[in-house]
Amino acid sequence: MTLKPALSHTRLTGWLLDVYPDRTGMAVWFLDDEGRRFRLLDPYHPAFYLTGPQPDLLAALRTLRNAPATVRLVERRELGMHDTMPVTEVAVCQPIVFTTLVRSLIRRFEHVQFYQADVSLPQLYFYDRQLFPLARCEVEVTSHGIIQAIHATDSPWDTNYGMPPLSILELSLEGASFNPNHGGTFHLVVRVDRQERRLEHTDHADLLTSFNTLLQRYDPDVLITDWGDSYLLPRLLMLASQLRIPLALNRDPMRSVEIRPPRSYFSYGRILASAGARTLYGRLHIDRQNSFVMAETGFAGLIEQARVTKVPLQHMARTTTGTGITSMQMEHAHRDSILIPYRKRQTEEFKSALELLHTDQGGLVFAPLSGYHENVGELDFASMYPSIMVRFNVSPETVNCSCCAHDPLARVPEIKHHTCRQREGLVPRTLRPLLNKRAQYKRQLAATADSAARWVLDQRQTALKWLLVVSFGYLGYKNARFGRIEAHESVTAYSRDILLQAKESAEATGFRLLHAIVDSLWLHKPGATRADYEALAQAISARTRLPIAVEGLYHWIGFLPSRVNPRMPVHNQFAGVFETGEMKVRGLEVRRSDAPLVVKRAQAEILRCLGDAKTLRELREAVPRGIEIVRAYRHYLREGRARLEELVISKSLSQDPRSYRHETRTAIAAKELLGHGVKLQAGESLYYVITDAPARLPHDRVRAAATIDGTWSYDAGAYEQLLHNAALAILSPLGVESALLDRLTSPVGRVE
Amino acid sequence: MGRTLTTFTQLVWQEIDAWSRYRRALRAEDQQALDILFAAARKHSAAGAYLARETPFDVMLLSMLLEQQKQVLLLQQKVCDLETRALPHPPHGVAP
Amino acid sequence: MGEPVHPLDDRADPLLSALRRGVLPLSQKDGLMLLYGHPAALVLGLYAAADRALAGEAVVYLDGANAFDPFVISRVARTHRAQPRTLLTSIHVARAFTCHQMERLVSDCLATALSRYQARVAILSGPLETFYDEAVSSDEATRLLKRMITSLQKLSRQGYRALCLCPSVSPQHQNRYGLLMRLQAAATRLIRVEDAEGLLSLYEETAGSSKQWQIPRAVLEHV
Repeated sequence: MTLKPALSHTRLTGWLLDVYPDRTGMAVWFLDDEGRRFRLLDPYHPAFYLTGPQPDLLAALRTLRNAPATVRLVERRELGMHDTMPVTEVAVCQPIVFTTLVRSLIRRFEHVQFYQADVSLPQLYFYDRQLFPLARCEVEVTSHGIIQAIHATDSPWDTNYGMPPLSILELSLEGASFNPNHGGTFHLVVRVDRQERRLEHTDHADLLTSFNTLLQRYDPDVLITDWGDSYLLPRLLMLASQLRIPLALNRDPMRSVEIRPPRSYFSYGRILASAGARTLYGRLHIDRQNSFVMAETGFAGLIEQARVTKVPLQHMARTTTGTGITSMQMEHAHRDSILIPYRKRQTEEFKSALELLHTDQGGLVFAPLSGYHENVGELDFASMYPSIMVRFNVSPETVNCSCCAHDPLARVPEIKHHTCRQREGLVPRTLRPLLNKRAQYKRQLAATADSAARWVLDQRQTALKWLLVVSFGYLGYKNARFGRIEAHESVTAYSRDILLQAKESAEATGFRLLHAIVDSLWLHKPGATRADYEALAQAISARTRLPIAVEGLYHWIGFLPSRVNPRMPVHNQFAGVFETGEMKVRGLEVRRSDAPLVVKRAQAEILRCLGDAKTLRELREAVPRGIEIVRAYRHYLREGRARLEELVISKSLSQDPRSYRHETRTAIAAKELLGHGVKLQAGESLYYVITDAPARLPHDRVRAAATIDGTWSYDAGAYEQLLHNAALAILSPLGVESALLDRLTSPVGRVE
Repeated sequence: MGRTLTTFTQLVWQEIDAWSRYRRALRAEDQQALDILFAAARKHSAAGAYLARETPFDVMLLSMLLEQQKQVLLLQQKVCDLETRALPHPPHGVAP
Repeated sequence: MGEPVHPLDDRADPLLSALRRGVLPLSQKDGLMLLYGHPAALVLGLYAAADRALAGEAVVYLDGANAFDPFVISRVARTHRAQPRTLLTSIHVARAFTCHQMERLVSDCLATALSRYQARVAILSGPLETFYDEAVSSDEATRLLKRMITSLQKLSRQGYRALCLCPSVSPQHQNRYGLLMRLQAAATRLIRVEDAEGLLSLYEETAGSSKQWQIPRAVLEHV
């Protein structure tokens, strides 16, 4: 797979496909302009740094005498320090042993400080060579495929970049609407070269052979699967090893498929599951069902994130968005000779309990004025938190700096922090190009009519939006390398002050604040036109020096009350119709993953019906039609016509399924699956149907969707109740009480 | 790193909880009035959070008073309107 | 309520009075004191901080359980007719969200903070909670804890007193039980906190002592 000796020229142009550590350098997969794929080798020696008490340092260096590494003394800086300090650089000649070497040193020498010790090597390679995934490159190689020089000819900050002509093979399961690991039988479907093939399951050996043939014939650069990480690839590999038929999944024949086991982890107070990973060498495997980026932004978004963050595609598809932001910060640090600490040890500064009371706050949320309003405008600050970080220079090393303590302009509003006015911090330096690039995409989007181009631009700007969204959380994330509580606190303090400034500007010009959440305001002024809202947005931008734009004008918007206590206002539960006819809905069943499809569909129909109304009067007139929709759906449910897919409820396992103590529906369904030998982990989604909610025996109440076949029936009453709740949430502020709704929608000729 | 302190909205719920025995022993119509008072505290949770007072119940009481004051003003306005209408000779001489 | 209560009069406050009978004021020989067991131990830490602040002392408070609650301090202040603000300004807090931060707070920052605020007492609320993180290897957690204990013992030799409050190790972290045992072994006074039939009981487990006190649970429910 290395360059053929016959190859005459030594300069190649093309795209960078994949990079990973090898014995004497980094293996670099290259796709040239003639459509050929090469495995090249870059003799790159990744480095880490150490410092510490002299005896410990010397002892550590002594153990390196026989290691494949070169050692020298260099000058580097720690983040926030003006002066450099001497540190020992250890460059490892065999990248493949880098991790083992560093880990053994860390274990043995606890008084030695390590830097750049756990940065992923492909990323470090990208930082050092100024490359990035799928970069357009020029490379000079020897006839043995050894890279002499490599450089990118495009930039990750380009917005009009060309895409390599990737060959893609898609692999999915026919008949798997839920997690296939929960049970069922499926057929393997292969999509390649605009053709779809169904591989029949008659004989396992035949299946593997025909799959191998396809892999060899099409030699795909990218393997896109559904459930490839947790189900497809593990099973195919198991079959292959049982039948001793080697599976040609990897392009690099010297490597086996990389396996990472599944795990559960906490994020923002919720438990999440990661399905593990099966990643390839020289070929990229992406599992659509195990990728947040793919789900949120598609393939174009994934590529955008990989390019700007320099995280390899297969890793970016599976990791958190925070890893991307961290990588960008590490690259900036690396470029500026700032040491990347191995473990963050930055601690919180002491503050009095009274100060804590003021600093430990989030953004401001004004409880909405419940009910429906007409002629409402929404104004949103664009990427408020990242914009604040850039505008006010909020970064771990700039907050409470020693140089600006007495500068009144450096003070953070309301709390006792200040930010540096002398030097721009690492975080603003990282975020500024991201904000600019996203703004550029948005301008291009506004000027583009072609729907395919718009689709790509929108996926790319959404990919950048996620990086920006996460950048704030990472200032305060406990394991963030460049995080610091005081920086996090400063951002929210600025945001509170800015939202209040916006409120003051609006009120001064006669607008009434209906609702506000951190960076968005819903305002009303009788007779106000779009021009009035635009003028207000401009005034606020001028005052706060942060960009704010009119998100839209609503014909009407309903801020829906708490379902538990109708008098209590709740935020993030509303439905509104813009002048364009587009709807914006938050917190209702149509947006919730745990609502059954039939309920979502009914609610969407009611909303569409109400959406025709342009005034509150028309809205009230539309209510009877909304009620009629509820009645029709109740009828449909009561007659037993609803299908399995319409009834399935999906819930996330909040803990290890064996530790549930109460017979909740989720617990019952989990037990059923465990009984079938299915392995479950906390954070994973479960799919079940309510069969008989009030049944005395728990296992009669619900059934796991994957185990359902043959005869079964659902609990119509339970689903009618869910439907009722979903409809009532919208209709109750329009004067439809629960009992009335029930009476008006009661199925005629009820079947008991 | 997650917030450490109880949010103002949570403090309102805690306060509601702390008064649950009191509420139980109220007549139904009085329970409703009490619920309206606590809803008033919740309505001004942005102001309560921004103030970040060490004794949050004081802030909730003021929010309740604030909503009451709004009601008083509203009722005053209504009374005023009704009185104007009831006058035998309206100021502008136009019959309602 | 009747006549005003003196700030250090604990008749109005059964919880504080129980604490004062058994635990407070922390005497010099107590050095490194550990209350462990029932999760309410964390609330006792807040009361201990309020108690010292009522006495006019400054307190340094390390929060490893993300559970610091200024409103409890305010309520204690009000019960004792003291200004909540006064108490809150004399309690100095820093939070740790990882065991590396916790160890560094204790080893590198605590001595400076104690001397800057002229405090004699450090309260460590849930100092082991961050050590149960599965992302940190058991070996590393143990190594960091050893360093942290050495630093605490050094402070105690210098005349400072440290009060550690450790809720029981939860079932999913039983494999880290050894960490709590290490801290118990290092403590100069050891008190177990238990909940039994509506009573919160404190049992002295220090060698040569077998005292015990009870606090009605209802008192804690008001905090």
